[in-house]
Amino acid sequence: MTIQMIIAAFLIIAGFLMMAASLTGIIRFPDFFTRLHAQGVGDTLGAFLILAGMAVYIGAELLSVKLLLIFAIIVLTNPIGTNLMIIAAINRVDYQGYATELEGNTEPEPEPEPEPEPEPEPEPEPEPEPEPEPEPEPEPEPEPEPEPEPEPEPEPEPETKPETKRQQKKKNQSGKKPRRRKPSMKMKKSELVEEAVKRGIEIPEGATKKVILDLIYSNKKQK
Amino acid sequence: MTTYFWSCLLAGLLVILIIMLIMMFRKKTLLDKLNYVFAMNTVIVLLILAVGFKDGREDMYIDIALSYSILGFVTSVILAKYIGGRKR
Repeated sequence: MTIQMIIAAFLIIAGFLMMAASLTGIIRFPDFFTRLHAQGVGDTLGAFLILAGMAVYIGAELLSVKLLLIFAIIVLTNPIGTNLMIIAAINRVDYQGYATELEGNTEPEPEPEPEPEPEPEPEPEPEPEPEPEPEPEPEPEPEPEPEPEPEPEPEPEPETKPETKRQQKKKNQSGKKPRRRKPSMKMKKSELVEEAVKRGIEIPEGATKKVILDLIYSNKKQK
Repeated sequence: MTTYFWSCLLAGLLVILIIMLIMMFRKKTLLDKLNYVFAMNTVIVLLILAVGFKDGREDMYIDIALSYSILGFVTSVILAKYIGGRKR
């Protein structure tokens, strides 16, 4: 038992404990993103300690350089994979609204429902009546779907008829890309309150920003 | 003595790997399974190294571990890109 082997054994045992900690973290953490964080512990510190212990055990040779090369590959490549997984998770789960915008979605999903209806509508042109549309629909919550469409905020003309707005939107979609909106996480509280009122959500008194966000997203998932 | 130590490390890593495999099959979400695959990649590299040290032929097994780390990275990145899809 030389002192070199004692140091190697200490490093390897510490690294193994790190791997075990990362495993318990992956199993027990509540959220997907926290689980990713727990995986990073084992990938960086656990692998580094075990590989450094092995390198100390070998000594100053070419093989220990190869071991550190393995560690370099792990450190360089694992963040890339984790990043890709985070992007996939955000696009799938819509975490805090970073993937889809709140109002005026560029998604093709909510459009085909109100689009067939404006064709019989042009008869009452002078009076803009978008409200009677959702009533004949048998769905229990028809209000949030048609309302956010005729009111896209950043457009320069806020007071025009809803049909012209739709035409403008079609032009926007066919021509230039619509401007990307703020993710709802970064909105101020007043903007969030406006959003919630547009979607027909009742806000309890004294609600914080987080509560309003939760309400909006829970409403969104029900669709 | 040293062989005993390396076989202990081998058994510990193997237990971690088997627990990860079982949990990977028990999780329901696709991304959770992908997370376990990523974590298993690192553990398998260390496992190959431990096998090499136990046999006393680490010069051969280190090269295998090196190539396996690159291959596992490529596999998991392609899986992540395939599952995540393309941005609009």
